[in-house]
Amino acid sequence: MQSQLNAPHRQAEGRGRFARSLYLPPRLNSASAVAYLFLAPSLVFLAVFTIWPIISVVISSFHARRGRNQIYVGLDNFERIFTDPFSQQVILNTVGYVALGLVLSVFGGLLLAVLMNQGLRNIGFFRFPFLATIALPMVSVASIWLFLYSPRVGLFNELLGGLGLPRSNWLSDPDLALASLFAVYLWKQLGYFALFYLAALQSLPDDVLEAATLDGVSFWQKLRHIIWPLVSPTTYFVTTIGVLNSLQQVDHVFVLTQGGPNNASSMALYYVYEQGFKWFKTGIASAMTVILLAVLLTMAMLQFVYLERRVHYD
Amino acid sequence: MTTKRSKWREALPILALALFGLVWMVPLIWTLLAAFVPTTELLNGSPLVWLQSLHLGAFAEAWEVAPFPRFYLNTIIWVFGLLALQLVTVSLAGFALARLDFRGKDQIFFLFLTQLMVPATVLILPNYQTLVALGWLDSYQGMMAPYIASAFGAFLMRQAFKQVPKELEEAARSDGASWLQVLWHVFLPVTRAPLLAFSIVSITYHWNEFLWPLLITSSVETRPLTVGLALLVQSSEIGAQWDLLSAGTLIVAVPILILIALLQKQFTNSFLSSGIK
Repeated sequence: MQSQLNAPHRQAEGRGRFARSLYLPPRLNSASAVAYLFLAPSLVFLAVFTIWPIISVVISSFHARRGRNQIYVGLDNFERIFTDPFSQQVILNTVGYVALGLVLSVFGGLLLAVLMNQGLRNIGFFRFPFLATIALPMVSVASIWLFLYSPRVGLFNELLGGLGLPRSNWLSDPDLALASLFAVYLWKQLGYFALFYLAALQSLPDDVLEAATLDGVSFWQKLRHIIWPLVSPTTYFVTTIGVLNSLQQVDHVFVLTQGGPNNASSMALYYVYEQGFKWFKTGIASAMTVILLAVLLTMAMLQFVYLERRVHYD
Repeated sequence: MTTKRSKWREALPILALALFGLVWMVPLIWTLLAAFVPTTELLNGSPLVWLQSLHLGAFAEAWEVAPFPRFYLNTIIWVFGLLALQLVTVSLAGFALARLDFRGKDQIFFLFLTQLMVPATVLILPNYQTLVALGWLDSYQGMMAPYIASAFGAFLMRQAFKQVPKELEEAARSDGASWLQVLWHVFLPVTRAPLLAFSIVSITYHWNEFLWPLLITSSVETRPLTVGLALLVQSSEIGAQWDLLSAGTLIVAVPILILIALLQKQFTNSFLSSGIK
């Protein structure tokens, strides 16, 4: 042992020997150092661009700009957000958008997946439209829909006009603007949710679905009483990513409405952008970010609880 | 009678799916038409007139109005540069999490988990402030920075590395290979599928990204395609040059569309593994 400590050149021969010389279990010692070395690049960037921003945004949510200084204002920013009609509408818009998004992504996604799960030989051909919309940039998708929504020459108004129906101002009518944004989101993302259900359906044992077909139950009964309970873990998963997804999509707001008309189609993340980057109200923007963080962390917590329960009871 | 009926019942879902798919394709087809047919002909003419008036003028014009070649280059540099960095960080981190014992593993695991719960999109404001402090605005590294560490990638690789048989690792170790050599020569060659899955998710996500590059970039030398397209849309909206706009949209979207058509299966699997992108 003594001789090994005095002979550094021999340590280089094998980490196991080096570890023994320090009275540590060989694997632990060498592996620990290597592990930290391997983790270092990730940890540095996680610390600076995930952990630090969470801390700093919480701090600045309690501050407001007075002249050139940031002063502590307690919960003022949060109070403003929840009492100001402008931001109240943003919250209402966001909640409605996310809730409707959930309902339609679950039911629409499942229905589409059931249709896709027909054992078709050319499934790829039928899958392409839905895959294409998922993978296209939201900016391109929004540009496409800008044309479709155009009041004078857009396809929707052309079709309505052709049928003798009144035309609409899809993006500049306050009653329609948010719904128009939502349609874009749904068109782009429905296939994404369907893919998860399709995978779930394909992992079900064949005889379950076949037995249901033979007994002469109707399509809806089969969907309601056999498929729906069997895919419930996927439904839970789709719910989680549905919330995450709809909260994060803002590109179409930029291209189509910029939150207008009159704030009718603004949503939480767009509000953060407007307050923080257009009007430099970092305190308010930070407070809204903290609210978003709270929602995301609650979702994550619920997911852990759910997974835990499944581990226990399954 | 009954067979006819059951045949109908079988065909119905397929018809429904075909109709569903067709309706879904309408916006894409309309854009394709709008890019190749002048707008007046598109709105007033019949399909026969459309065929007669096909032209590439809108593409030439879009190519001229906006510096698309430069935007392409910028997108490629930022998307693939980022991917290269990510492949290094996620392989190393995934390997450490899967195969090495070390103190504080749980805490480090939790750090990664935090990033999975809090997507970078939500943190644009504080991350922007960090970039200001670092002097990284309007730069590629600024665009890449929040994504260089990827919890999704690290967990995906951890999962893959865990399935590599212990014997392979031990054989290499007893031959005197370092951990880095083990990772490179033993683990990475057998985990190409998850590496590809991660690459597809990363490329699609960042190729399409808009808000963060919009905030960070301010010059032609750094702006990616998505930002360039949005600027074109905003500038041509007033003049309502729809053929120009459609051509621009296609210029940005076509590489992704081709990729999907070629790699449908891999795309599907990658999207599934991504969950949270």
